[in-house]
Amino acid sequence: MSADSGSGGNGSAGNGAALITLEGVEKHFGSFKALRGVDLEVDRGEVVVVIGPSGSGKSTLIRCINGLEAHDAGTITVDGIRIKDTRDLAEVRREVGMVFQQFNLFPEMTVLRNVTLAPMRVRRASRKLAVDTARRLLDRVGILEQAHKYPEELSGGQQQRVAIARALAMEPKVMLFDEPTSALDPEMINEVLDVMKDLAAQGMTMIVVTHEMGFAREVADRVLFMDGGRVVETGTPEHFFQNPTEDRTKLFLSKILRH
Amino acid sequence: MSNVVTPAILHALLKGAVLSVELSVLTYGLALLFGLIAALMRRSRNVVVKGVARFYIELFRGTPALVQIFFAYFATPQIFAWLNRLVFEPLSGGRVMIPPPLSPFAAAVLALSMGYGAYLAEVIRAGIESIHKGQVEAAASLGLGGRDIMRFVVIPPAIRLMIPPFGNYALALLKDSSLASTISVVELTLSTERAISYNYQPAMMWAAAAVIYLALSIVGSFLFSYLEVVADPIRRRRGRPLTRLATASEGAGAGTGDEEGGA
Repeated sequence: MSADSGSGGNGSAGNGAALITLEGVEKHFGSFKALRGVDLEVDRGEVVVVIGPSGSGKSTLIRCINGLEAHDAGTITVDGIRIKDTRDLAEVRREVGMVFQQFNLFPEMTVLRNVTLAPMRVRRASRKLAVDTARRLLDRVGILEQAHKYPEELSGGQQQRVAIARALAMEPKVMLFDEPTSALDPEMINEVLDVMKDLAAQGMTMIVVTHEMGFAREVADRVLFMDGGRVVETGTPEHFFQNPTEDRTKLFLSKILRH
Repeated sequence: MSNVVTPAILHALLKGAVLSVELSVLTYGLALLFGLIAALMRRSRNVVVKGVARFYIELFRGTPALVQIFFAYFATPQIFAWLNRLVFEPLSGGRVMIPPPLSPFAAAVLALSMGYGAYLAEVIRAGIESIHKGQVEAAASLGLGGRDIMRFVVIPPAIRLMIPPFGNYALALLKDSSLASTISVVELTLSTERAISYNYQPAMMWAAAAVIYLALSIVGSFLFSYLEVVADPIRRRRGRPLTRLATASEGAGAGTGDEEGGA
């Protein structure tokens, strides 16, 4: 890949130790090529922030990692499991938590039930264990007192924190965030970012698609800039924000950092 | 005036009303079943299965209920006879034959339930398809399987969306049950007609019939409004003091589960 040459691109130290490996991943929607050969390695405990203009393939990239989109070429390996056939898919999804822009909580269930459902149905956890775990996680995201409310009774920021707790309840090895603050009112963005920072500080492996440059600067081990379905540039936040090498990166940064 | 409203006439109207309700309830139950089957078939990946469901829905939505009732009552005996003569008799030597024609009541139930099943199939399909794709993706990304996604994530909110149109069709069916009078089912409409031939009071009697239909509709309408409340978790909690007490104590940390009857 010609463009995949920024410094820090091989920041993943031990080669075999990468938790997630993408090689030459392509994804097409009809004639539109959303991903044109993406290579990526993410190590355990690493926080990778993916930025780029809309339509650059960032969301598609992380949606391919847990198989919500089936990739058309290349290989994706998560914790040693290659995503190809559907049996592996269920196995991978158990290990990969995902947080969506629109929260996607289940409206008919209380907050607590939203968090306990998957552990009970998928991991076959006992009710008591699932509830204990859920309470601990809801406490961690600061929302325990809302456990018996329904999603629509919560603010957007609270709903997103529940969504994070719901994903964490499956004890995933990696968390994917697809623009988790883009649908939030400005005053609620920080409460969600704080939870994510806390998660990163505790060593969770994370891939975060976001427009929050402050978060990228502060939390990311590595920033990935995508455009036109390719990884244009990748590096540490310092490198990335201070001395970007690629023109497209500079252009993008000049547009979003101006105000 | 003594022959205008006799006990016998009141009794006839009452019996007619009861039969209308029986006919409607039984028909609606079957219609739900047919509708569910057709909706599931329409969502099948198999083209033939899907096509059969599509054909059924279009056929019954596209023809008048009265024609369907006449077909069920007047045409089936002839068709059964042909089938017996051409298929069953030669094949089984007369041992296996289609039973005698449908009774008027059975024909009405069959025709109306097939007809309303076609409408309800579309209500069910629309309800299922209106569930936001993101809900399903969230469930899938938690590792839930297809069956669990349907059971826990898709169907409960879908049913909530289906209740108002279900109510509409229930009321429409109650009124269409009067069509059964044309094949001599003595439900409310036909018993009214017959009563009029005794007391010659069409204005009063048809007004009475209308009032009875209206009363039954209002009861049905309230029933579906209640179902709407029951299906909405938040309104349900607000609406029933006992439940509200229960959730309040759970909120205080007493209960472990959030499901009904958790203790």
